[in-house]
Amino acid sequence: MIIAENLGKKFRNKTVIRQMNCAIKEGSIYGLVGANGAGKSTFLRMLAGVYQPSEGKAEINGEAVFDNAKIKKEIVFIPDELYFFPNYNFRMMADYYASLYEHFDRHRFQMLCDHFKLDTEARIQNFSKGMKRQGALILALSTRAHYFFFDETFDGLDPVMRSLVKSVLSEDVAQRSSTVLLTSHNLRELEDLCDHMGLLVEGRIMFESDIDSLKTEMFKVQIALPDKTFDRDEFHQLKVLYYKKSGSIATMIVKGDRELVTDVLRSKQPIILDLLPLSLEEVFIYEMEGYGYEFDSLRL
Amino acid sequence: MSSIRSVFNFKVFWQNFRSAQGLLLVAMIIYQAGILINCFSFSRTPGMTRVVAFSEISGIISLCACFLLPIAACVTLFDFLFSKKKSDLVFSSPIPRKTLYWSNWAGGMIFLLINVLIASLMLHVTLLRNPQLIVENGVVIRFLILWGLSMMMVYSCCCLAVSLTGNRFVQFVLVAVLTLLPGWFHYTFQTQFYNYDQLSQVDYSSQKATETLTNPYSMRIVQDEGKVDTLPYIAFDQLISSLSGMRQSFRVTDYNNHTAFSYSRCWIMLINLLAASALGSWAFIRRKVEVAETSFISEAAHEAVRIAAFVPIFYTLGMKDWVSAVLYAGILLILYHLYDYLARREFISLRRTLISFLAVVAIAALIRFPMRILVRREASRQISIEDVSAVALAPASTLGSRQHEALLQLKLDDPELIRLVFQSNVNSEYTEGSIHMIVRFYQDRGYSDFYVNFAPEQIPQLETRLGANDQYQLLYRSLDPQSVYWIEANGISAGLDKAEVDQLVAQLQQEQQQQNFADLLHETKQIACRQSDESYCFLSLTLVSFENGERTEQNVDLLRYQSVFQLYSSFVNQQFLKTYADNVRFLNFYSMYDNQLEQIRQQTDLDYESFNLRLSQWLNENLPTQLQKAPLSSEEFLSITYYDSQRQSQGAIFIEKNEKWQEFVSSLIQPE
Repeated sequence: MIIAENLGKKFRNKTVIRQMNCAIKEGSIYGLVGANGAGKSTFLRMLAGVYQPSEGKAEINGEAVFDNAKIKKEIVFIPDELYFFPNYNFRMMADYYASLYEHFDRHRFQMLCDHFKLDTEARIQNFSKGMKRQGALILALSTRAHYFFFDETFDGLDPVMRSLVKSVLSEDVAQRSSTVLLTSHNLRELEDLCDHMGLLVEGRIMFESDIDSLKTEMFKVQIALPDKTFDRDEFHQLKVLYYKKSGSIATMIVKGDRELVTDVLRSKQPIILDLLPLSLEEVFIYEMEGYGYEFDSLRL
Repeated sequence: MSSIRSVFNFKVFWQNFRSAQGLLLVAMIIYQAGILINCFSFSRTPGMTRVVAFSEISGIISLCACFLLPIAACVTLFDFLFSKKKSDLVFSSPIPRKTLYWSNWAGGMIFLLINVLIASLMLHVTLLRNPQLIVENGVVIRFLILWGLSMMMVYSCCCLAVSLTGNRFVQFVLVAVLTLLPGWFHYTFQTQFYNYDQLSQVDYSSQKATETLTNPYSMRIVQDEGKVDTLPYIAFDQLISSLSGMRQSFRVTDYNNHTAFSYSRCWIMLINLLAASALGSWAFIRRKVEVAETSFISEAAHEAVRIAAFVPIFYTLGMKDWVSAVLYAGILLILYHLYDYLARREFISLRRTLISFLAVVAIAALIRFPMRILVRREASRQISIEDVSAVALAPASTLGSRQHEALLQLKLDDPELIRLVFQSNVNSEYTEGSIHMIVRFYQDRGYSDFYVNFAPEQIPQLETRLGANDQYQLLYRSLDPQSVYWIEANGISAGLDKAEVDQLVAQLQQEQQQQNFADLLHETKQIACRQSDESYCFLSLTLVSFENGERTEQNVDLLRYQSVFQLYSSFVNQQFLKTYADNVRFLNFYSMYDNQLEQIRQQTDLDYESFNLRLSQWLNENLPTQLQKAPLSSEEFLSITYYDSQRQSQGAIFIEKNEKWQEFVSSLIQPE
């Protein structure tokens, strides 16, 4: 169990993470999304023990991570900018990881390298960005750690490799109940992989939820009533996150149980009624508006 | 065992060492190449037996390496602190910070030790291959210990700096500040306390000694009698000594600082090494520097370095007038921005510039003004001539030396001299040809030291007064009988060893009713000087001593004592007999009054070959018996110089002009 409690991090005079609270269950794939500079990488670094929290606590299994070798043996952190020792190849990097992680699985390493068609004897510095990332993922998964923290996981990977990585990660979680924490600023990349998601805004998790409820509890509604002069107050029984009326048709984003919402709307005897599913990206944007954030400029 | 493993992890050590091998190898090759070139330069003096000083062995290369190798090692081994990418990999891995620090620390130490070991080995081989090179016992071991410890101490300072700041550039500056600042402080304070203007308004700009005092931070190289000395050496030495509170043991000009060796110095360095390493570990573990400039401590260190580095600049440049102050402030602001740009790739904000600038001014003022108050208070204490019971004088150029201290402890109560010193203060302007002396005024209790400027017209008078004082002359020559190793006579080495010198000293003492040797030399010099005009016989001896590997020479006019001369000539002639062979050729023939043999050779048209042959034969027969006798007076001996072609050196023998000798001389006149 990963727990962040009132977590905060300051650099010089700038607060990057403030009062963050979050709990990530074992065996889940948690996606953390947020704009650039929201504090995703800093949060991961604190969980990985690279940074010490300025305030609050970051714990895994009830123990602080910072300078805790015992916990760190169960953690692998793959940052957004990868580092490999100069003139090393993947076999040598595997040796390095094997010296640090006692459960490092060389057989799995070789198997994954073959699977991803990576040459373990070639110098890493000659590899492309995507190949380096593949190699880093393979090394991480070969450690047989229980917690994987990936920052901008799919950066530089082509679509085929992305799906391959996703399947390997899902397989590892399914087989070993490992916990994966991923960050990205691209929601679409995460929505078919994660089972939980959190939105990080200005160093704070604004909301978190499991993907299924996010998708099933929010809809886009297009409605036209016989009385064309209706307004937002007409739907006061519902939790309307967004409302816009063009002519006689109103478009709303409504949060709640699909059946209950349908019943309420049908009771108004609408001329037109459509309930449309939302993409994860839209869900996040409207959810944020519900918290008072303005995203008009971002909405496409 | 597990506790050791928790501190030192070989895998971590080897991994970091291996990943840093490129730069470390380059640094190693440059250093070893420098030492090798140094070794070749020793070997380029064939046929000349010479004493190799520790300074020659160490050289400028060792000094540069002493700073650069540790910095290179630290920068490469702790590079994860400067690189965000690498810090992610290193700090997220399951290695405790303690292990990370100490493993890298050990890696650097081993690297430095290997370097010094290889350098020592090369030196050792060089010295073994060159029998002409005379070296002190254990000089290579000393090289190993001294430079090994110095490098390791600088490395531990680097580790401390890097743990505090997490910034590569700030680390350089911090190491420079740590090593140079104590030296600067020492010189600054020394300058201030000698710079009293009560007795003399000295123009410091035209004298070498005062240049050193007033420009303590300059990096120029002072060439002095073949020794190379630089102020960083001194500053480095001052770091060690001032931190230890044992500054008095390591006086600046007592020896060539970087060449000096003493075990106490090594202990101090070892203590500093351990302290800096422990403090570095504490900063690394407890203060939790993550990566470049992310913690309060690194911020604080950054500011501290800025202030500490620029206080000396501001202070040294001075605040003489408003124009200068504005100019210096401008320079300082440019330097601030340059520093920040180099350290962080960003320019300092105006607010921070002003705060740092004010801090520098405040600290410079805090140093300067209390000092000025102390100096003025000291200066305002007028010393009247009646209060002075005695004075002691030492040339300013000897400042810091043992000789200087000895001279200042010699109380001279000559009223004329005291009056002369007080008169010198009347004309305090510096003029061409005037000399600086540091004068110690002895009063009832204690004493005060002042710079005194003697005008050219006062110098003859001063010389007369001081010349008449033989004790002063003796101290001025730094005579130290305890360190005599061999004696040279009339410019020719007698090649006496310590036991023989001791025997000679004992003989001298016996003759002079158990006087100590220093008094005896003093007295002998007086006699010799007094009687030299009367062409009295005396022998000029050079006492050669070694102190800390430095060869010093003092000439003493000696020998009116026949038994001493007998013993001396016996030693010398025995040396001759040891080396006497076909390879000896006689060069010159001296007596104190004539060159009788040379005249005879010319008169009789004897060529050198036949003359040498006949002289050799005579010496072969008679020299052993000559050794049994003492010459009756100085007029009754003759010295002959010879050249030993095998050893390529000159020597001398002493011949008694007895009857047999006269016969031999007469026989020379007769044709063969």
